[in-house]
Amino acid sequence: MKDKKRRFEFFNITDSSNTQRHLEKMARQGWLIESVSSFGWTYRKIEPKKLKFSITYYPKASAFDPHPSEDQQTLIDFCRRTGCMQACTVGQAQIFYNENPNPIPIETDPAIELENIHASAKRSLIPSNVAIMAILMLNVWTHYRLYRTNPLQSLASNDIFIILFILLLGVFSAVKSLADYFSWYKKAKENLDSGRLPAMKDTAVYNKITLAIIGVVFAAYLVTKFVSSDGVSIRAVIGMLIYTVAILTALPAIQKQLKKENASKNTNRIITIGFGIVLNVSMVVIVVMFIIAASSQGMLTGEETYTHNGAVFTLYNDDMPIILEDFGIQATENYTKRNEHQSSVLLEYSECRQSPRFDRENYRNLPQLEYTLIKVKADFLYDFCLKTIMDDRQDILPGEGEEYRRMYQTTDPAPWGANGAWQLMDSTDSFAGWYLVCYDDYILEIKCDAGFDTGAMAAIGRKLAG
Amino acid sequence: MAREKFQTLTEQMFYTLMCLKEERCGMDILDLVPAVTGGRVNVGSGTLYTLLEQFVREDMIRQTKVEGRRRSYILTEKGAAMLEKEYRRIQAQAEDYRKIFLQEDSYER
Repeated sequence: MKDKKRRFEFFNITDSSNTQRHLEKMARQGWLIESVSSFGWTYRKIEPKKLKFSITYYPKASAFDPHPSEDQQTLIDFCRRTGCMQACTVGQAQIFYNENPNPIPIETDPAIELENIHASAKRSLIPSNVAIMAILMLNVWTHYRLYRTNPLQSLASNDIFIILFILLLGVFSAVKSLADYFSWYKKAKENLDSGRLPAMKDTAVYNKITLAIIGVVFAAYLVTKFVSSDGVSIRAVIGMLIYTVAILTALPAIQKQLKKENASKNTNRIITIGFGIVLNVSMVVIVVMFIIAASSQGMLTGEETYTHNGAVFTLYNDDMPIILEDFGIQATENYTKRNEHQSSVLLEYSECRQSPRFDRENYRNLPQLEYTLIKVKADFLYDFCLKTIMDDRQDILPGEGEEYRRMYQTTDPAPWGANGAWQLMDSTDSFAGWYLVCYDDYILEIKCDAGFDTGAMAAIGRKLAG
Repeated sequence: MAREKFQTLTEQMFYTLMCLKEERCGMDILDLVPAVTGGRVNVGSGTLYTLLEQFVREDMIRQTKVEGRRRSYILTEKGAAMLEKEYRRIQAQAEDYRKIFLQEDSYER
């Protein structure tokens, strides 16, 4: 028979009514709460009995305390005198139980109880939620900046939607937690004369719904990642998941070990938070290095590589929707074909390049093809995508005498079999083979040094029109 | 704020201060208050802990002895004055009650 049991409970410890009711039920079933952590609530086997639980707040306590201070121990002694035994502590929250069915409450003055709860909230609940909000908002801002830099790639990635969704859900939860607390605090202050504090808001339902949403969204994300992504992305996501779980396991373990070693509150706090920062930063560094190594050297994708002038290059052979061969140009040997494809519910975005290997003789003069192909799945984004590409490419720079202008100029779409076509022009005529072409669902920005004859345009039209 | 807070005393503050007419520790107060009031008033252990801290901070009581975790306290002059003030207030309330209700009773009789 197991002497201990761990369960994941869905309500917050601040939700005293739910917590007390639940702990009383567990005691009736023969389980006494022993500790509460982010990895669940641990119970110890006891004789099933009716116990009365109460939660009181000791504002000076800290989750980093190696053991209760002398002052805190005095409070514990006082409680013991009235039959209340300490079951465990969770930060400032002190959980006591009493075998007397009608015990003298630990808190008999609601004004003093409220003062202690508020002082504890000012030390933990309020700053932690404000910090969470600030960190998550900073993340939202970073992602917004990324979106501003590459709006089309961002819209073509489900990752950004998932990340933003989870970040915003986190911000909402922190705001809700603070709003719930302050509305409870206000109500409690106004009703002090009633002789008891109002019950805090039930947190179980909200937590269950939030966890279910995150679970479903994340599972869907993983499934789409496995179905549509390359090996590098999948390995990066799995690696990040494992690393995150490792961090979440390591930090409480470090904190617990330091408590065992009798490290002071401040030492414990500095070391644990320091480790948290180091582990998080190293995770980002490892992921970035992994992706750079994988993509530049084909280390993990199994792509063939070659060395030229001391540098390693990957020889890609990706599927590309349009290739030089479609125009009658033979470019199969010693060419690399790279298709960086991203897909979301809104867009499909492919950046394709078919180019000769750098180690080929005279490689600069061999034909090469470069294009960005966007499949717009959400009609309302079509004009936005077109305008984004145009704005991104067009430029006006002040020059000596005359300003430099690089602009898309309308050209006949008929040879392309398209709805609209533009050619990039500038005063130096260096963009002769650069076009922007619109089809019903596709927007294509294509560049070929060899230019496009009507046969090539028609070949592209056959692939993308209708 | 704290000064405003002790302008009037709650029943639990009143009895806690009263117990400290003589040097006593927290445990003694926990036992004495229900004994003195015949169980009508109880001071919760958490409430007493906070009250003792606040009374010391407000100079209404002072710590006299520390034996391990057992700390003893006694009422200060300021605390005694507060208690006296509260007693007068309660007495005035009782007097007002007597004037209105007991006089009416005698009138009716």
